[in-house]
Amino acid sequence: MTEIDPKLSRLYREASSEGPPAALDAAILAAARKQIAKPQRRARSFWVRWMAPASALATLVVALSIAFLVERERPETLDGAAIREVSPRPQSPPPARITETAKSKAADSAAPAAAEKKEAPVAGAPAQVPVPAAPAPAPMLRSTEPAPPAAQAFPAEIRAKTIAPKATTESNVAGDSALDRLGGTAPAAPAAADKLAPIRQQAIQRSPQVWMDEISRLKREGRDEEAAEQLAEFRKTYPAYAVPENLLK
Amino acid sequence: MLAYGNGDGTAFNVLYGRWRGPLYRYFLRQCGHSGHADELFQDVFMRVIGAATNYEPTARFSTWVFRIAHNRLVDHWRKLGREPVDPLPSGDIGDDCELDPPGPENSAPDRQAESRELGEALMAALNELPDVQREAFLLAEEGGLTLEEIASISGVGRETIKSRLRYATAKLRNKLESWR
Repeated sequence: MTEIDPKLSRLYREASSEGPPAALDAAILAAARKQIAKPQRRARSFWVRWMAPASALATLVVALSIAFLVERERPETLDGAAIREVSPRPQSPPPARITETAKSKAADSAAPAAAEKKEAPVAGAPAQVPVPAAPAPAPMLRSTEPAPPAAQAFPAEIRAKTIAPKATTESNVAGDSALDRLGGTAPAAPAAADKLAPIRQQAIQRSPQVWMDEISRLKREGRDEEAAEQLAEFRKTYPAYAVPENLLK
Repeated sequence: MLAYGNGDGTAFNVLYGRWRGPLYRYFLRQCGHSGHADELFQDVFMRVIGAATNYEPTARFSTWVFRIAHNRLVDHWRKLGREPVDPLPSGDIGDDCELDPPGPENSAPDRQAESRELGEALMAALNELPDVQREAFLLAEEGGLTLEEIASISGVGRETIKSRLRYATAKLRNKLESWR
């Protein structure tokens, strides 16, 4: 510091010897000791400072996880097989299947032996089992509703026989079900059955979501009648599927 | 200061022993009243203690603590309704004559008495300085701060501080001229 004369500076330092009173020294040193005697408060204050943001973050993570899981388990994203696993199988297919088999036998009388050989266990059943005149209200059933009484009226052995081929052709059960229902619900109207044959064939190949998209498309195009038919068929095949509200109108 | 912030109690003792005198004298010279100096001094060190855990060495400790002291002093003056005035230079600053005080090695009783009287005259002259010049002088002498550091604490430019120090030195010399 060249602005101050060194000799003046020396004179000042020699003349300056004042200091704080001893009591003041003691008070300050005591306060300093007291301050460092509580270091744990520092750690706690750190935790307290971050507790709220950490809690908010944890809550957000849990909420997002739950939302993600719920989104994944929505029925729209499940395929037909998954729906069948969680919902009771419609009870009308067994007789319908039997009826279909009988119909095919009658139509194709030229090759009865082959049909009998292939479906020998059930071949005799349809002729003996009367098809219910009013097939159950299965299309409107929810998965939580009890099975229709019409289905319960079938003999246990027939039901057992119809379950066996179902297991072997698991991938086409839904489609078969649609076919069987069509055949079962209109046994006296072969023309209508023929009309709906393409729909049945499509039902075999389409997933529920694709089918719903197709119904939506028909609605948009103003083909309400076809859409209604498709929707009725869809609900027979996938009774547990949550159909969008706009398609029900 | 960092050691004290980490819980080393002896570090504060060293720190306090180093700066208790300069800081106290800074307040004593500026206030001219030991009661006020005691109060301000204690307040500043309490702030130092309270800030130990969050202390970050962005500057020298002396700069940091004298900045706290300066701010506390300004608050004190404001509370008393006193505004530090920076007087305009009046006339000649004075010659650059060399001050030649008696050295401490002079042990004769008459020399010691003369030295003591010279010191008292210096303190009286210092007390008569304008506040801002006295503060610049004290920050340089007691705090050992550079021009830049004093300027930063006072909130003025480096050249202003340099000018204040030159005026302060010249006035002190003039007051002590009779002792040459």
